[in-house]
Amino acid sequence: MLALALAVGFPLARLLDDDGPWSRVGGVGLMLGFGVSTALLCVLPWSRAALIGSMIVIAVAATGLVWHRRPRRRVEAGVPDASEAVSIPLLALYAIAILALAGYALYATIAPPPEFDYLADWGLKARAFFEIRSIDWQLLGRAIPRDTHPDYPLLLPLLYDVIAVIRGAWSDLYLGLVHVAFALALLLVVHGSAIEETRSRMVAAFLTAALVPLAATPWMGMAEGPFIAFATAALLLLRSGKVTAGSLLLGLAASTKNEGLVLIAAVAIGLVFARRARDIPRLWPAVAIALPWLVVRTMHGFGSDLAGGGVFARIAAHLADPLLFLRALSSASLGKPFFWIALAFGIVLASTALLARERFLLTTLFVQFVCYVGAYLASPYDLVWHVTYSWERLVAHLTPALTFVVLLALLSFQVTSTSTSLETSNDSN
Amino acid sequence: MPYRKLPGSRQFLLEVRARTKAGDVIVVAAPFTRWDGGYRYLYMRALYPLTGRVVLPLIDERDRPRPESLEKANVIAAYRCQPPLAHFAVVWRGPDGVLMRRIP
Repeated sequence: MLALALAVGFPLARLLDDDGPWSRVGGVGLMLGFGVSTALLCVLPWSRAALIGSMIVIAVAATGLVWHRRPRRRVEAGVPDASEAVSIPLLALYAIAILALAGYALYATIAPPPEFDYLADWGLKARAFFEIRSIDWQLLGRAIPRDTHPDYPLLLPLLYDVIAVIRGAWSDLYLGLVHVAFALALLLVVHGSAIEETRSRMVAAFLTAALVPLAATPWMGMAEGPFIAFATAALLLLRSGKVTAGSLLLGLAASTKNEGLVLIAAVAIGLVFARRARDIPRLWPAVAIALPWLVVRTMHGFGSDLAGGGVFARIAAHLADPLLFLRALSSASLGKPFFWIALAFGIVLASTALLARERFLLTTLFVQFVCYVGAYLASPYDLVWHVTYSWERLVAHLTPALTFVVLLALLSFQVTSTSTSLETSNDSN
Repeated sequence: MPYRKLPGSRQFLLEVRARTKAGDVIVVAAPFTRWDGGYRYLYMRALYPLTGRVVLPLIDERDRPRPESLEKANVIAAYRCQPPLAHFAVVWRGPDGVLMRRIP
């Protein structure tokens, strides 16, 4: 299934990112392949032959298109500096990334996904759909909003179904590999984006290794990992001007979790603050991908629990008691305390560079963060319970992109300092 | 791990799946009278192993009884209890519960 997704997605990604590094095209390709395969389940009969046949046709057509449009001399923006020798530290960094990802694969496949949200939401929908070889609208209609969330978009359950349709049977034993594939895809995008920006394999390898713990999420079977991969990759592409590819991944993020819808708006605000408002209309693919599910769920009356009756009264009540909200936040764990301390130091050290160069990404992440906090204010549930069980996951949505730009700014600072001291040294000699 | 708070519940639900078929309407019964007092834990975890069947709760999220579920059901999966219902007979008994079918 992974090979089919890559065969479909890689040529599509190359069409959208024709001068991008191979690693980034591979990562984006894998994610686009996942998106295309789930879209096919929405329009085709759920048979192995129909699905595999269609994917092969798309892969061949897209590859033909890439071949037809190939430039006579490809000028890749992301070619690493040829003078940079392959060194032991470089190989060690790649080895760390690969070993960490291999360890994650072991963790992901040690048992079927055990999370409650998998059993009551993502996995339940996927397995129920596979039983009837179609989206089970009756199940969604009967669902209990607090646990099964009938309003949640269906990309992840349908992706589990793609695997089941291709296998010809339902099995959750190795479904964790989907999460490994998403982590790998995101790390490839991180690697390629770093190569394009710095032309340094060492920097790219370091960033890739550093981001493994953030891409490899611990919540097996849930949508966090796929959402983080789609959203972070979209932000990195949009940041580097690859608006169409970024918009497609943004649409896939919105098809994975409702937070992706907020992210589309946050990206638009980020573009305004970065004086790139002209790019906002080019986000239309994101809206076009997300829109059908919004229409369908409205037609079926699948409302969000957060937007349920009395939303303004709940916000007013929570605002009237800010101590409760602060107590809830202080009682929730964010995990990884040393990571947060290091990240805070990094932000302080690189603040000048970040504010000068990362206006788009910082604004987008800030708006998204504010929306998450605002969603808690509208919560119909016990606030402490709601924050305790979701805060770490929500913050994890924003962390990889923030860590990427902070590390990049710190590494640029290091390079600038080194070259400045060298120049000073040369001048004095 | 899932199901650990109700020992034997996972195996019981797998046995129920093996003894029912797609399209059966199953009510989940348990010795809990409140949704957040144990019933939700079992009911929400019963849905995944029982996909293909219609799985109905006996109480709702506000702890109100749902007698209409019993009227629709042809099967009762009763975890560590045996509801005394005249129109249902025990068709299988395991260490952690019984399976009851509607008497024609």
